[in-house]
Amino acid sequence: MAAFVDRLSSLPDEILHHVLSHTQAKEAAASSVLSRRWRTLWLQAGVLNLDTRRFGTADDSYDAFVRGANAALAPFRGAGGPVLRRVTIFMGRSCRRNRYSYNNDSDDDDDRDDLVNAILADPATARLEELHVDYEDNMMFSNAGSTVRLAFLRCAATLRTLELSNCGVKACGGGLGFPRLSSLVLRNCVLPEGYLQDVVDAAPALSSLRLQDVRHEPVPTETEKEERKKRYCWERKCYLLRFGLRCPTLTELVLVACGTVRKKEAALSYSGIELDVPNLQSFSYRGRSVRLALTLPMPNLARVDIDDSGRSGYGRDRYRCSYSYGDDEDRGPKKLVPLSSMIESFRCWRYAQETIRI
Amino acid sequence: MAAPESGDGNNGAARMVTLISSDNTRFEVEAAAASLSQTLQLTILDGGGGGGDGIPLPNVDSATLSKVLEYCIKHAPAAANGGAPNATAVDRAELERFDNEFVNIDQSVLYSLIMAAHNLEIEGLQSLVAKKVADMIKGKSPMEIRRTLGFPDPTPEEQAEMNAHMLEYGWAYE
Repeated sequence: MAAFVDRLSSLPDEILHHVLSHTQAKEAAASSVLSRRWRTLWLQAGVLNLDTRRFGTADDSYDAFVRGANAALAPFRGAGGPVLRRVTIFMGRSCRRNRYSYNNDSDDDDDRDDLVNAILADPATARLEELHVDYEDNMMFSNAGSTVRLAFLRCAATLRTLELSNCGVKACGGGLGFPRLSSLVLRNCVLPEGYLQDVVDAAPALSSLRLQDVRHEPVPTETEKEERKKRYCWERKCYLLRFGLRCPTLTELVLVACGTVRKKEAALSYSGIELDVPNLQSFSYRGRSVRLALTLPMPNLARVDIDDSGRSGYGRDRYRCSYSYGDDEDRGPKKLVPLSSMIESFRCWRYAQETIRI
Repeated sequence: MAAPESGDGNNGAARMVTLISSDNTRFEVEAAAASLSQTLQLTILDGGGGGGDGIPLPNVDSATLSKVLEYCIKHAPAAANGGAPNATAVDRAELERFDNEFVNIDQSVLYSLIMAAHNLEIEGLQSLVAKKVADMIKGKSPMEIRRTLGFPDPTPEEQAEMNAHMLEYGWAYE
């Protein structure tokens, strides 16, 4: 009955693994020097948190990070060795600066040597169950080398949780397949229009989807590509809330101001959210008032939270302006509608009655 | 065995359960708070812990248990809200402030706490304490970590081994 524990080392391995899973890769590896027991603890924990801000100074962080990440991944490469189950990557701004600022014009090849994709192509990551990638502060430069290529993920077969923040997701040749993926989170991400549906279709076990400030970009024509190089910042101001999704396995859906990038003129005729998610149990929407179309019945829906006051509410202030466009006058006062009954809640919701078929 | 007494058995919100620490102190808490523990949840769902019975926790002493329950009571409303995607910023900030203060405690209490959180399977508390302990390692040299974590000073032999190991793991000490 060891109720009183006076030293960390008297804790069981399992708990120490948990502790080490909260440390940065460097600290986890450094802990291996503590004693013979600690030598393998961080490897058994199977978690690497790679944060570019923890490597080198701003000037040499790129090389220091490449060295560090490489060394941290090395022990997990062997077939019979320890298994890497979770990786979190934080790509700081300073670490990308030198590499990519000159490359903006080569739209298709600029991320060939992107660090994140290099890590995700490493054999050490072939058995990941959980992956978190966060590009610091990057969303204005979706075509400037901060894209994740889902089709090339080594860990697609084992992945259960995928979380991407502030990056582009690039559709590229190669099939998608995420047989075990159950939770997908996208924050401040840009996807080609229709690609999210492709990803969801490739994830037959997906039960939880959280989308915050995700934009679906129409695949540009050649002339648009040319134009965009000159002034795509202008184009990005025209966001529209159009979003459609079909997913029979989904039980939890959180949408925060999801929109499609569109030209302003097309705005009015093009807004709305269409959902075909028959097994949904919990639905949360936060953003501007939009038309909602649901395929009924949804017999398991037990919880609906809707805040259509028009603000994403969390996320960074400077992105909020992205969601205000011409027709602001119909934006009502803040209305929070948490109701247990789906039908009641949707009747309360201003625009819902128009499209919902009860 | 645990036959719920009439009235307080399946009565939702205000239902109380009794937990008994290793040194036989009895704690009465709301079932919702105790249910943050995955281990206790099933017992409580089955109607256990009510009335005079109580749930014995032979691995948790009273000092630790009262600390654990302090956490559970604070976090129970948010947990009942299902992760609360729409929780207000104020609520979240308040919980964060509570959490920060909560783990600002003696190391030995911290270790008992993480052990208890582990045994009782209270996910949030496990992560909270694990993060705190991880922070204690942050940015320290191996010798400092050894001292912080209460390792005895290394023998010359161990020291030599450490030095060799540090060479091998040079990148981690850059």
